[in-house]
Amino acid sequence: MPRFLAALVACCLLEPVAAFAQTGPQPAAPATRADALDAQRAARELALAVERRNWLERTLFFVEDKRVLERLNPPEGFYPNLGSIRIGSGFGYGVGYRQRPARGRVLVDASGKLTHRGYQTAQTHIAVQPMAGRPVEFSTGTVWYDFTQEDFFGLGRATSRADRVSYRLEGLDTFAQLQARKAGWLVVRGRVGFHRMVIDSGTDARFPSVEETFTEATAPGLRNALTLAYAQTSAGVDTRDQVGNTRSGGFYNLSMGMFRDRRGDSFNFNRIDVRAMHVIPIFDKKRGIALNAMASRSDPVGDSRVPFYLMPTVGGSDSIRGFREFRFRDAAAVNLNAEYRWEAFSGLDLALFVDAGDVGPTWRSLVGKNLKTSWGGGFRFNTNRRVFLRVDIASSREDTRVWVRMGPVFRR
Amino acid sequence: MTRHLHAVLLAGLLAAAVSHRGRAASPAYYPDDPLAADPELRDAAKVGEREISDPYDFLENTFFKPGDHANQRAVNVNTIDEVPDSSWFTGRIGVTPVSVADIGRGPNVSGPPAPGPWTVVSGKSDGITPGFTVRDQAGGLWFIKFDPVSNPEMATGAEMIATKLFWGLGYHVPENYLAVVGADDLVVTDQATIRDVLGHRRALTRTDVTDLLAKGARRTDGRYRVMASRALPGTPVGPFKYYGTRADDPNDIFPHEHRRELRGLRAFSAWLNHDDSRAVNSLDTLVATAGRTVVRHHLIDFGSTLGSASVAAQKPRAGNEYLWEARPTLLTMLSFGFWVRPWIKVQYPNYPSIGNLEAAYFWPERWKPEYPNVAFDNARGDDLFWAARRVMAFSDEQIQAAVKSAEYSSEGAAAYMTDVIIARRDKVGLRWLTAVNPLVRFALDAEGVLTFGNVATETRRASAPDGYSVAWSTFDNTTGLATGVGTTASVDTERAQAPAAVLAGEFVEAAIHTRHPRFPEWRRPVVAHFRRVAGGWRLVGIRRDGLD
Repeated sequence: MPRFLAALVACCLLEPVAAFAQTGPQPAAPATRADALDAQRAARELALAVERRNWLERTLFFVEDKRVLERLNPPEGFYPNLGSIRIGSGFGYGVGYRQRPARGRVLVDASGKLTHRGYQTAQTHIAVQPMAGRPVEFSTGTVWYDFTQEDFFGLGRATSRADRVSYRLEGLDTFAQLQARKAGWLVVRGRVGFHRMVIDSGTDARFPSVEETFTEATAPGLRNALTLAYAQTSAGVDTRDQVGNTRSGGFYNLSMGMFRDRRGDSFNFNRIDVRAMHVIPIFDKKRGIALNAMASRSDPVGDSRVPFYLMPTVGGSDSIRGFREFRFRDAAAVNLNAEYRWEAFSGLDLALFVDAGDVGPTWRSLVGKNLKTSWGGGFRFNTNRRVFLRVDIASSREDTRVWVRMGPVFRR
Repeated sequence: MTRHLHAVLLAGLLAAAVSHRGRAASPAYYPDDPLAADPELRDAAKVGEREISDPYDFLENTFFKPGDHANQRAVNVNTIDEVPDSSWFTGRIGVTPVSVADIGRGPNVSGPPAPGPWTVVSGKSDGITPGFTVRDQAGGLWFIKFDPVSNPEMATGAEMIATKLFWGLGYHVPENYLAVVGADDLVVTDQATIRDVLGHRRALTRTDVTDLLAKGARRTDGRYRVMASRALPGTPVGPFKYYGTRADDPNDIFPHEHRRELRGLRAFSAWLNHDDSRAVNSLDTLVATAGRTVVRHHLIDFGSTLGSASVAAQKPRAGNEYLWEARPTLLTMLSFGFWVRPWIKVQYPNYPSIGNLEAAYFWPERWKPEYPNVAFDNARGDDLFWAARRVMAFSDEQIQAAVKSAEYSSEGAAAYMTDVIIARRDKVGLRWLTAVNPLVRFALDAEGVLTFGNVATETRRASAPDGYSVAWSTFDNTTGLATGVGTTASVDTERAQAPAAVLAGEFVEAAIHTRHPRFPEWRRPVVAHFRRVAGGWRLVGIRRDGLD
């Protein structure tokens, strides 16, 4: 009861206060709906502001407006040369310059890059399309590289992770190449060149250098500087619907090469690479099975040998993904992959995969029971035409690896 | 003591509030209600140009849910639940007589590009659709777009049809014309420019023209069918967003997500598969009118409507799923791809000039734009009912006239397009004319006889109801309170006599429930208010209850 009385008194006391608050210089009550709306607009007019973007919109707008992404890969002029040089090289920074004279039929490109692990590369490259409208391209160029800490585990399948050593490989490759595409699906290519290579102590402080563990007998070419003259030719059938994000079709390629030692007969050899990749869509292109098979062989000529660093390898992000890159190495290698992919939404595909592979002195020696295997799953972030980011997680008896790559699988 | 203090303060505030409410000067209805036009009287000359980041618009609307999502009635409707004419919208079909010829003509009042060569002002080499900006012989500025090589007539045809129909619905849209142009008709002068991929503007050359033309579908005579879009009148100041208001526009007082014509655009976009109904496909311009400057709001770029995605046929996903949507993504991920999105199985006819469009699988409520749109999300039954009435107001002949303007070379394609638009129209009506109590056209004559219409049954979207119940009240315009008079009357037809007692006051309220076994939601009343005027009663208010 006292509470009720208190409230009643408060009503009496505060009511005049509230009423007073309304008796100030009030605008006249609007007489019409139009007046009422205009009164709102008049009030708004007093509080107008400049349109502003928040930081995220400002950033995205800047990227769009200044064409930041396009400037990373401009058709002409200077461009930033970013990304790794090679698996395990670390992230690299560099600059390049390109021009496209003759109405775009000639490409002149020069670039250089350095990674935080000391890998370096510099290249010049000229490509010419001699026949307008015809898919024929002649190119020539020079590539210099210095790979400071390459991995080597020994030759053959019976190597151990504990055998890992590091070596440095410096080289200069000068080449001329002719490539033509017929009827949209037949691709032929011929390439000749000189390739000078020098091997040296690896700079990866975590592991011994190659010469501390291996000899010329167990790692051919270990103590030699090498200059090879080479000629390679390849023919392929390409029925992929999209190279960057293949959802149907395949690529089948046979490549043969002759490598001749210009300083003697120690390292004369031939090489054959066979590759078949096919994607089978299931019902539609939203899901499919990708099959990939690669076989490589290096055959020494006479008493020559094949330098260990030019032998085929197995293991890595496009091979047996549960093993390190270049994990197994020998004169012959085979690599098999099967991958089931399905689209989660238009920007992401998922994948489950199994990989198998082996190395040996000859193809005949690559028997099934010795196959190294791995399995895993992955994410492929993509546009309709291109996988721009791939994350694969793979496991094998030896290791579990996570691969993050800018681009589709089975490009190698 | 503290409790006493609380009680005192609470009572005081209550007293102040009651006192304030008692003195409220705003009546329920002003003398000028219902407004036919929104009086946007403030000068907006100081509105500045703004651009919107398309990626940001996608991210913001997909992941951050901007704007106000309150379930509330559209704030810009007048008292009879209609959209007044404004800088956003002009009532056309369903509001004023619109003939078949009107739809065939659409917004085109100034005429097509003048005959003779066009002078290229600039080229657009990047973006979704390459094109040109040209001046015709009369000095008119035009934006030129092409069909993709894979789908001749598709993008231009879709744009022509959508332009006519969106104009008929009431939106401000550009004048769009079909034209045929040869490479020799395009004159390149020293002043012509083009932006390269890095955004640098440089002189446009004949080679650029050739390269751009190579991206367009060429006719058998070597010329190109193009869409010529006349530059909008006024000074462009950028797109509008589908939420909030433009901070520098004094007339923009209604949050866009609560505007009826933007909420209702969901139904129109579903009808015409305008999945690209996002901010960047709108444009505000400053126009002078009655001695002041106002911002006029336009819908532009209808190349991605119907079966067209501008540069290719529409993807089957378009209209069925957002670019990113959690549920189907998770279902697909977790089922290893064996859960199949139902729209993937939809079959489309093989008309390159149509693209991917169908009406059999289409269901208006399932339809989605490319990414969430807060105005569309806020659309309630009354908004969609309003929109569906306009869609259903298009006759078959009017739709034929719109399709005819696309000038398809294939009669089969034109017939298919007409049939699909008609079928989709009927589905829009079926879904959204029946979603609320579908009563319209209320009138109270001098004798107190109430008449109204049932638009769902009139358009044959529903069978006749069992009957109607009418509750009569007097209405106090000052307090907004209704006082019931007599008992609820039950009638079998759309006609009821008001009791004499209710006709004695200045305002009459009739709350009408509809009884239909299939549509229990029709029991929610539509409340109509009538004001006494000389010689009878005038409808001043309509409210569809039960939607809040």
